[in-house]
Amino acid sequence: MESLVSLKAELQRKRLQHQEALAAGLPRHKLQLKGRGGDSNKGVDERAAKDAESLAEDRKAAEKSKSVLEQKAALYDKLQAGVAVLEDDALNNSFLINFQKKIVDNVLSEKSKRDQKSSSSAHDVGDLDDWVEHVDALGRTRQVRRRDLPELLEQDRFLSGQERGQKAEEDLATDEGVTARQEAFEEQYREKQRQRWQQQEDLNATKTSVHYQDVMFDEARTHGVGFVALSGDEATRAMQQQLLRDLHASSEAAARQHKRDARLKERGMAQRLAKIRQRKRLKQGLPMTGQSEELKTPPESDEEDKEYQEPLLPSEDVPAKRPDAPLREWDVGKQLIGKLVEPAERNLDTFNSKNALGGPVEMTQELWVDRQRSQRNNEFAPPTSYDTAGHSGNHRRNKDSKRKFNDKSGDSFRSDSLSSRLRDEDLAQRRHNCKRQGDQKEIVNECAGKFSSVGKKYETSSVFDEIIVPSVEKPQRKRAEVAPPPSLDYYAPNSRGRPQPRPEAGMQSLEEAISTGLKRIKEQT
Amino acid sequence: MAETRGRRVLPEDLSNVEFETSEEVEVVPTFDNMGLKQDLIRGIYAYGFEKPSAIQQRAIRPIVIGRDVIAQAQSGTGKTATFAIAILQALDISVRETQVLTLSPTRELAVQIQKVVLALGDYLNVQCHSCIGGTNLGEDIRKLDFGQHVVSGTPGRVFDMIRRRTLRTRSIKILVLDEADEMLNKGFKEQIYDVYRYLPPATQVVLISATLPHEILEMTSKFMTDPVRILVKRDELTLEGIKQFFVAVEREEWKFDTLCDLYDTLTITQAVIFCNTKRKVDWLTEKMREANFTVSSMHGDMPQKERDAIMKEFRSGQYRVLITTDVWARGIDVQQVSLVINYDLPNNRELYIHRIGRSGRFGRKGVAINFVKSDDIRILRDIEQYYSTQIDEMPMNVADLI
Repeated sequence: MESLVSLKAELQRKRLQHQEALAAGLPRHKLQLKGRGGDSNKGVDERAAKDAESLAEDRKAAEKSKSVLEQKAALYDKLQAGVAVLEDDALNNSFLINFQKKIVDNVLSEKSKRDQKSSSSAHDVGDLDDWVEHVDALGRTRQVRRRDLPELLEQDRFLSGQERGQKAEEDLATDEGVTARQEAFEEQYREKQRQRWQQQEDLNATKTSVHYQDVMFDEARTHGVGFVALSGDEATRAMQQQLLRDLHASSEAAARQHKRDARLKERGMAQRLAKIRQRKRLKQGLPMTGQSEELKTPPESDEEDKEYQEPLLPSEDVPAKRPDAPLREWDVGKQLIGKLVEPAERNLDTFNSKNALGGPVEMTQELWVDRQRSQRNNEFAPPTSYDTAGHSGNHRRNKDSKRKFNDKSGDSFRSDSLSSRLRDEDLAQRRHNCKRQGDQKEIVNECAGKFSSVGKKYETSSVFDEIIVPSVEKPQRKRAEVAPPPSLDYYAPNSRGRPQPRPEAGMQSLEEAISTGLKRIKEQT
Repeated sequence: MAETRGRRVLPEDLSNVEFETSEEVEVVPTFDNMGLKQDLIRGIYAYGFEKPSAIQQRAIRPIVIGRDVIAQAQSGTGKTATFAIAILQALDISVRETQVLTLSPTRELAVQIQKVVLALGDYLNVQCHSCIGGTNLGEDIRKLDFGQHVVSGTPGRVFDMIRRRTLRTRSIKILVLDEADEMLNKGFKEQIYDVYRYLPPATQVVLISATLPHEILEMTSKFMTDPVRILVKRDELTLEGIKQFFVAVEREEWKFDTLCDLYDTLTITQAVIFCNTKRKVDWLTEKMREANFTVSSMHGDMPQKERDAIMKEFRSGQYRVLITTDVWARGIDVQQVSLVINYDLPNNRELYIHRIGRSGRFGRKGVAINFVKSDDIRILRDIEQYYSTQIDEMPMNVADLI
């Protein structure tokens, strides 16, 4: 243990010695030689001399190459800096290096370096308070203090890293499996949505009242700011509407109160001002004036109040239609009984006259058939037996009866009557009908003459037997009659669809028919 | 008065008469000044209207006071709301009977009108039923039995209901023909006549459309009395807000590639692509789906249930692109539609106006793109001239205009 300590001490001492020697500026080499021993080695000296010689040669060669290289570099710099090679292609080709390209590249790289410096001048040395332009990872440019730059650069690195993460996600999304899954999901969503709509529709079908909310069906529509989605449910709806009404009333009352207060304030101010003015006049020795003005209340006040209670109403006295308005062409033949309207027979002339384009009229098959029938000689009409058979027979007979009834009515029907007059007329006609079943007069419709385009005497038809007088049926109806022109069929032609079963004329006729039938059977037997 | 009466006696031949907006038409600048029911005004504001459009300023009053009205206005300027507001004002809500009948050319439009009437009349508790074909008859009958203030339907089913006496006409005060020019065209005119014959004489009639050709105006004297006319000259019929472009293609097949290129633009909001035939709609839909584009399609040959579901899906924004026929050309209002593509050019000038009018609803911006083959350009130029409008070649930045 002791020996170890002494060894260390020795070592320390040597080191100190060595350091002192160095400090004294003694050549180390020599010191070492000396340390090794004073005797010299001849071989070593010779070799050293040889070394020194070759060293001198080497140095000469080095110097030469150095000078050549310096020359070369000078030429290189000169070529690169100058425009000689740029202009002289032959000169450029004489070198192995393409100086032209080098010059251009240099310029470009320098320019980009300059750009970089201006954008993120992190390496610029300058005042920390300097404003520098900074372009961040998202391409946004802004002015920042130099001292904030490192932080921003850190942020950029973070942002771009995140972006890379997003990109990776997108890449994943384009993967076909994912797309398919997404599509399936959307399909599923649509299916659900359709089901929900279907449910709503089923619900609507049973509701007696349908509201906007019931038919919205998720429409993407921008409504006004005041839009309130009132519930489709009646009870909730009523509550909501009541609430809205209350709110409206209260806000209106508040506005009115506010206005009244403002007016009172204004009036008070005006009165005070007037007083001041009077006082001034008194001071100036002028007589008092404007007493009456002061007493007057501002005229606008009352009117304003009125306006609140009654919103502006339209002038209703404008006549909607002139009472002497002429009959419309398409209205010809219509009859209004008890405000129940029956269509007249198709007025063929309406389509005959001219078509909208002034060219030949295009007719439907039914219309054509109708017209032909109306023009046909009755002798060529279908046998009357057709009338009694089947549905259509019923139908026709019914109409026939109607026609007869009209003939009997004996009153010229004013088709151009206004709705206001209609009820009275209707009543009058009913009374008339009931009274004067017996005597018959031919209808003269004064309207028919009025219009040359209509230009024909037409018959008003279509009175509801069962509605007006159920007992108008005549006993002679059971006899065969000449078929009326089928054009009277105001029920659209049969080909259009199933004709409506019409209620039979009346109980009386039915009984009569049965009784005559029974009578005939008795006679036969 | 005497003067107006004198004017009313119209000459037989109207083909040379130029129809103009009636002089008596007044402009009411706000809804508050129209003298409407408080609950109705509430409904109007809630629906999103703030200031009445030009047609609403002019046409609501005459309808409310009971005049016959012919109203024309540019697409998407609130025509449906115009008559909806007016009829709601004219209704007597306490009487639960059909007082107004509105007829439309397509079932979807009839349903839409029902929806608008219910929305505007939400605070009035109005009852409105859509009476359209392709639906359950029994349900229709039951609904009508409950009593409806307004019936909005298509002529066929409505006539059927009237004949069955399920739809009682005795209380009907107003008949509205939406898309009137279509309703009085050859295909529909007779059906309208049939329905009209069942209405009380001198029923108030209201005609509404963006396009009202002269021959339609000529025939209105047959069923209207001294109508108030609010008309728009045809060179003012296209909206500034709808930019119109064309893409010239050399061959029909290239249209498809062009459409695929445009797909990203289509899906910015919602878009409607018009073809001229149902078969082509099916074909194009199939082809787009094959190319992995999400599209929806609708035409008249589909079952009504399906049509209905597709309409709802498109309205809810579930699909962004709809390929369809002219069944969609008139009146359908989906706020988000801002792009219309005429894959085929329409068969007449009126349809062009209606088709491009599916975009740019109520003041919003819209873009219409026409695919034209070289021989179609002539047709497009004719349309351009007829309406004094401008249809340019499509620019690269078309997406910015949507």
